Amino acid sequence: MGRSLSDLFVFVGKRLLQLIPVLLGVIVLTFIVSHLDLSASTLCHEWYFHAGANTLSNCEAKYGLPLPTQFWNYLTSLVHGNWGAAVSGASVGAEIDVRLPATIELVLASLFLMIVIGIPLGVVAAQYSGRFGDHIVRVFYLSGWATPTYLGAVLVAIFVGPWLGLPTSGEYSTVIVPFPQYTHMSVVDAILALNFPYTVDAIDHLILPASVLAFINMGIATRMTRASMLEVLPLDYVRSARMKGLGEFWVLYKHALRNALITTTTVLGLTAGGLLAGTVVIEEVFDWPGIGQYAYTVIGGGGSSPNFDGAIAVVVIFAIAVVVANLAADILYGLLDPRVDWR
Amino acid sequence: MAQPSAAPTRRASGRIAVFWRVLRANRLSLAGFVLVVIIGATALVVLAAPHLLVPYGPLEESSARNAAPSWSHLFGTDNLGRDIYSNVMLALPLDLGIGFAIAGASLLIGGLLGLIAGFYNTPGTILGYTSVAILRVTDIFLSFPSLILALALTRVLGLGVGPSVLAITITWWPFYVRLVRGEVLSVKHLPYVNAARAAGVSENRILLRHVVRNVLEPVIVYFTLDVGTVLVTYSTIGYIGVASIYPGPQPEWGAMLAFYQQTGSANIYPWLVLAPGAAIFITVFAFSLLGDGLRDILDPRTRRAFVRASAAHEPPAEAPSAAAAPAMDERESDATGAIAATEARSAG
Amino acid sequence: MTDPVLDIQHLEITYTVGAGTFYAVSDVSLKIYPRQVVGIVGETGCGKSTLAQAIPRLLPEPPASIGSGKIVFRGTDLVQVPKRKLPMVRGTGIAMIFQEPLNSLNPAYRVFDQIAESIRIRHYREMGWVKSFQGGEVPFDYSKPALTTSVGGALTRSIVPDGAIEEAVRDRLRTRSEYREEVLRYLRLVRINDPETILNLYPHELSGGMRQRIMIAMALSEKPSLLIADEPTSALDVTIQAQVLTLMKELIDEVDAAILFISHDLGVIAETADEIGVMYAGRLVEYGPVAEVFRSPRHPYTKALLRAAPSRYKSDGPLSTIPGSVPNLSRPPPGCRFHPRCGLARPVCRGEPPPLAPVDGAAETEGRGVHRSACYFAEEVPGLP
Repeated sequence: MGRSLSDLFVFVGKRLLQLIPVLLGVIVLTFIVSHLDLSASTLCHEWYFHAGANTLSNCEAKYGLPLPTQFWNYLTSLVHGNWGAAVSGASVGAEIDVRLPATIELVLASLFLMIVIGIPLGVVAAQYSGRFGDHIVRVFYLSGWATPTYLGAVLVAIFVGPWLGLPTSGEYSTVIVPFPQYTHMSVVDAILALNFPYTVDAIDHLILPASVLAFINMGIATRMTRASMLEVLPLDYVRSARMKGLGEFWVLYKHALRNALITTTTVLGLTAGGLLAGTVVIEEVFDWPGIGQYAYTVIGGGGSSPNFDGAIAVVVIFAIAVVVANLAADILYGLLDPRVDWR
Repeated sequence: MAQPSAAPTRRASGRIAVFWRVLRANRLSLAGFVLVVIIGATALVVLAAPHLLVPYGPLEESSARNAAPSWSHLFGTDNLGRDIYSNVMLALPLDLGIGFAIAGASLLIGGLLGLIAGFYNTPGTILGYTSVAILRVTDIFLSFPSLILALALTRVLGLGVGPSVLAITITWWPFYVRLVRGEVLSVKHLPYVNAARAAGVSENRILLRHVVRNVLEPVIVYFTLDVGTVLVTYSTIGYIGVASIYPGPQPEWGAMLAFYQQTGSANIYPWLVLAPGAAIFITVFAFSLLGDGLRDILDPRTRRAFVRASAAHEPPAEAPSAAAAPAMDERESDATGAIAATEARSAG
Repeated sequence: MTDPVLDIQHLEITYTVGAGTFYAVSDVSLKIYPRQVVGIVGETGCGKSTLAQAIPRLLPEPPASIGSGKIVFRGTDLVQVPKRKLPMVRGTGIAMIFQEPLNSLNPAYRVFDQIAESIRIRHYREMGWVKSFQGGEVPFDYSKPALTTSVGGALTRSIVPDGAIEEAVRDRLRTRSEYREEVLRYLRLVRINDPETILNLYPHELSGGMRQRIMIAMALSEKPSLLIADEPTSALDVTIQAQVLTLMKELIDEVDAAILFISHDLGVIAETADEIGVMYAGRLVEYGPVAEVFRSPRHPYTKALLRAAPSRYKSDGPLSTIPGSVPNLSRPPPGCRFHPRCGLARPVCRGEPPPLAPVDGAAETEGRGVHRSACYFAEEVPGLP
């Protein structure tokens, strides 16, 4: 059995290598889609319209090249960490540097809620399978499932936020934050600055968007936990645990859930796509300065000006995030299930 | 002492019989089924005889402006006196139709590719290479959150209902490839299929007679649930403002909600957003209730628990479950993976 | 005379599945005394596993349900014990070894953690931190919750009689290495070579026989007063079966517990048990000391079963089979359930089911060592071919 530390490195390394072709495919696909029906003249006309004549020749020089050359140029600049620029000249990379951490914070917060609320709910549903408790839990997670993100976000922002007295906009109550933003995660930065009032403020701002995001995606965690628990509960080792004299709580949460989690983890990794897609609308509604809001803008939500490089960057980053989350789930699976050989 | 008539195999039990068994065992799903039937009937009535259910035209302006819900305006009116109830009703056939169109097209494309990828996976042959290619492309597509890719595609394809439907379909089919492939792999080597193979039945005939028939049931069940998910995604795209124009001759829920929320009157006149919002919620909720229960037989893990619970066979303590092996075999984990993958994108 | 550890009285267990009802166990009465080994034998589906799992109330209810009867364990009727109190009885009171060693260990935890958990449960109960039901003198107190005291509370209370804090603490809070020592002791007890290595392995890294030894160690580490072995060797390879059986036989002398040994294998029962009960279609049809039952069976079914056994009891001639088939337990035959297949069957056998009565006119109807048979014509059985 290969389960030593060095085997783990091999395990992770192998999966990282498997990512490369997928990522390359993602970039190619995004590039093709975005260049599909845009000729240099129409694009540069738009460009000209927004940025003035002095950049028109630059634009035509760049987008007039044959597609493979353009792709190569794009890829090489991407490898050097250059994501391109908006029409206004604003660097896409700079936006991403600031916005990505904010989104990661939001997604992790809602993932946390999904785990601490969604998984126990799944256990309860499995425990009372087919009975009242099960029905209640299912209605709960199916309501989240059936709520379009924007609807949930809008309703919470308009009605629930004021009712609970929680802020529904931005990361902090003030625009000027009196401490440096090292990580660009609101709560983490406030903690790093040892600023307690701001920490509370930042958490207050995080609660509503994270809860909406969690509520809407809760079904995935709960359903999977319920399904895995239903699979595990009739197994012999659960019976042995019961026969040891353990109380039902320990039987469920120590013995059964530990095994049910192995599959739930994989699925939680796969939810990354849903969570990220959710941020597009949620960040817009709650004015959360993350990459989702940026995506909303660059893709043209609310009739904003086009940002060609920004749109490609956002799609690629979202795809990378999904792939990385899947990788994380894969590794976690390997750690959780002692039967997985890391070699 | 077991009753042979109740053998819990998927093949032996007819599709409709299974369907009823699930609904009977699961009151929530039954409620969902009733709701779906009511919604479908309403949509047909709106299409065929709109005057029965739709009192006002979509753009008809009455004198009552910003009126609260009342008997003459069930869901109230907006600032120009347009009847919200009529607009919500008129949007029903469109939204429902879009749900079925996208899910149906994805099922056809993805299902066909999934069949090929699952069944003809002999390495070294042309079809084998095709299978590998299909799977790689599918993986790449699955790496995009479908909403993001659909949004990006609408930039290219243009505004409007048609392009949006196309855009979502382009992002939607890979889920069906995963699902169908997983199911094909799980039935491909069932004992009776192997027996047919051993008896000299040709591969193509096995594919049509055995594999397709068995894959159909879970895929249709999944399709039921998917209609709701598609609806959520489409209305999100409508909300972001790239699918439909509202107000217009053909209203759409997402666009309606976005219009009233963005024109800023939702705080004072909540029915403007609550009515289309509730319409989306109830429709999707109905499909989810139905599909969630049905999915218990789709998921190999709950399927087992379900079969155990619903089929009359030997008392469990005397009949040690053969299915209890902790390590899932490869075929099964594939099917589970497919379910998991399809599960994970429900949010829009 | 000592009281029995376990006293089952007229137990009825049914399964309700769909519209059908299966009468899995009907009117079974059984007594097990301290340090006694009782074997139960019967064909697959005769209700012996149901019986075994019903004793610690391990059957899923529903579909199973205990219709009537008592399961008196050390003076308490377990049928009346509420569900949430049942863990108190299990482990330290009644322990069980299951049929499927392959799946009975939790795949996510190491061997050490799983045995140490059992030891910890016993330890906590011995310390009185957790309410338990092990010593016969302690009656159930239903008014109190399962977890009576906090750790702190138990410590303080314990200080008063002894007066020595250090000793109390040392006694109560065991270190990991102390647990390790004890786990090793039990691994050695079940004759595992190289226990230090086994300790750190996961169940999937062990063979079937090894896993069953660990299950046995786990059960014994709780020092139960009743050990139920539900076909502990059936799922193993023949050679491993023999090893595990030898181990069981050796342990029977070392362990201070009454043992209920369930098996479909007459040979296994013959080698291990003091007394044997034969089950057929949910009923106990014959009961008595092993030697006596094997020498002169007094129920036609037992006789047929012995004749059908491929082994040391009968060396010559072809194996015989029992004509007919096991009845469907959702519609059991009236009266004696064996009568449709029985050579001695007469009209009376279709009436009232025969009681399990002493044979050879033994005056004593209760107690140990009495050979009893549920046949109206028990005297004629020796005359059967």
